[in-house]
Amino acid sequence: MLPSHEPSSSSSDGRLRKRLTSLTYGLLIIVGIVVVWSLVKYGSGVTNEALPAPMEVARAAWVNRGALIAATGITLEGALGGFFFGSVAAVGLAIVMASSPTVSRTLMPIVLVIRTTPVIAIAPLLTLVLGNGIATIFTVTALIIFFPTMVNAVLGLQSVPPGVIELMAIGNASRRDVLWRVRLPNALPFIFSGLQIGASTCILGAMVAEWIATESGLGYMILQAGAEFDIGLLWAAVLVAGLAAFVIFMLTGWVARRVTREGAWDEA
Amino acid sequence: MENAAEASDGPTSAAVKVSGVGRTFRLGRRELVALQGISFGVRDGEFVSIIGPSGCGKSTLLRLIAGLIAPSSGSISIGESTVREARAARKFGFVFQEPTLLPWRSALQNVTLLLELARRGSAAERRARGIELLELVGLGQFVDTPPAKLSGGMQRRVGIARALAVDPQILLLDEPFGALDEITRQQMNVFLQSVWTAQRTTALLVTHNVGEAVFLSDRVIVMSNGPGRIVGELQIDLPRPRDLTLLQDQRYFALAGQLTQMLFTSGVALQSAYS
Repeated sequence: MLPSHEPSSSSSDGRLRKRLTSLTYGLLIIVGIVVVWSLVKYGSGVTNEALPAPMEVARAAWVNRGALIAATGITLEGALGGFFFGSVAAVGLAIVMASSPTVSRTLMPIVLVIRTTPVIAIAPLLTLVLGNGIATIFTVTALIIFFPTMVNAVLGLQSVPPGVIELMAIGNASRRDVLWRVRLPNALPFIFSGLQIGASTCILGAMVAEWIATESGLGYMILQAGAEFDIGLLWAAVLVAGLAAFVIFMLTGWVARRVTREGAWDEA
Repeated sequence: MENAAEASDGPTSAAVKVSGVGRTFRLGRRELVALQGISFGVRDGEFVSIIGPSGCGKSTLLRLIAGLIAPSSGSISIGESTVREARAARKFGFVFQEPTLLPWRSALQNVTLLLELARRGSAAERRARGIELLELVGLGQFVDTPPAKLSGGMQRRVGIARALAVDPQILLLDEPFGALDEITRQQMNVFLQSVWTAQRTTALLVTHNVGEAVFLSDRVIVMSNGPGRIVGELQIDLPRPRDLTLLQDQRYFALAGQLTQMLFTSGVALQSAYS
């Protein structure tokens, strides 16, 4: 059903209508995908292994709903935990790096080595050190998501206009005052754009860890379903993982807009 | 008109005393002499303008006085104290070329920023002082407005209110209205004149606008470039308070003409003659 078309001057009504409209478009796109998917499936005669029918995926999801929900819970826990710890570490590291060029020059190569070493290669080592538990999942996810947030945060912390730094000097501000009252607020939009990249990849991070380390969650479910030729469940797990990443991404964007809306920031 | 050597050092009650100050910048291997042998004084409660072409080091001079950069030679004292002590005691109010407001803070929160840094008064007292200052600059209705929603002239007025918040002994103004259109600039000058008349702090204005310098000042110091140095000084003995009718006054024209000539005879190309 379409939103009402009564004329209205209230802005909250307008916002609600806009939201309903974009929801309608979202639903239309999903319906469109399912229709195209069905047409390709039944029109071309590809095998079930290559492409199961939408209803087959839905049926598999329903039959395995208990396992699917449990696996999603495990993966979400790993992804969100890793996202949280990775992001906190990223901002903390960025504050340290932005504090002095010398520190930055010393730390950056180390960070780059950690970043460029494939996580797949590090993960087995981490398993040895941290065990087959949640700690490994958090760490692997954090390693995958921290970099964009850190780089953006450093940029944001350093991109304060020189005049503002002079203003703070006129006010005889301490380094701490400059950090809390100027650098961090200035960096917030930058940090959030890093966080959004992290949000879109944290599910991937958790699933990689599940593949290698813990044999649980959506990542492991996908491996297992593939091995057992349970193609419907395989697709269902992939779709759920994608949906989860999408929701985390959208939520992060929503929080970012709320926090960084101009004039909405309160006195520190 | 006197020349640089005779430029007054001011009496003992000088609010600002600049003695033989030079400043050199390093540009790769080259050394650039931005300022050389600068000496002058500013009396308590005096409004002094420093006029000169772009690149004569006048903004650098203002930053030296505020202690934002250190001189390569010579010394500067603020009353009885050093620049560093004066800054620690928050004796300076600084108005920048750009409004330099924090976009995530409301107009009021921008005005009270330096009071917060000084940990001066309670939050309620700071708020009351901030509102008082915003009313002084005619922005009493825009207390909670974010800077992005204010016009360029309004943003400058918030900047002036912020500079006045700490009750500075010396107000330093670095071409505060340089980026504004001519009409707004005139209005801002009238406004600054009335605010200054009410506050009577010592003020030091850097400008490249002859009309502005004559309209606002008790005294104008003329600088030239390559290297930046003082080439003359002009007393502006026009009565106060001054308003826009002054701009049609013969004495105003005479002084503006005299100042323009001082700038030209010192080998300076002007950006704008006068407003």
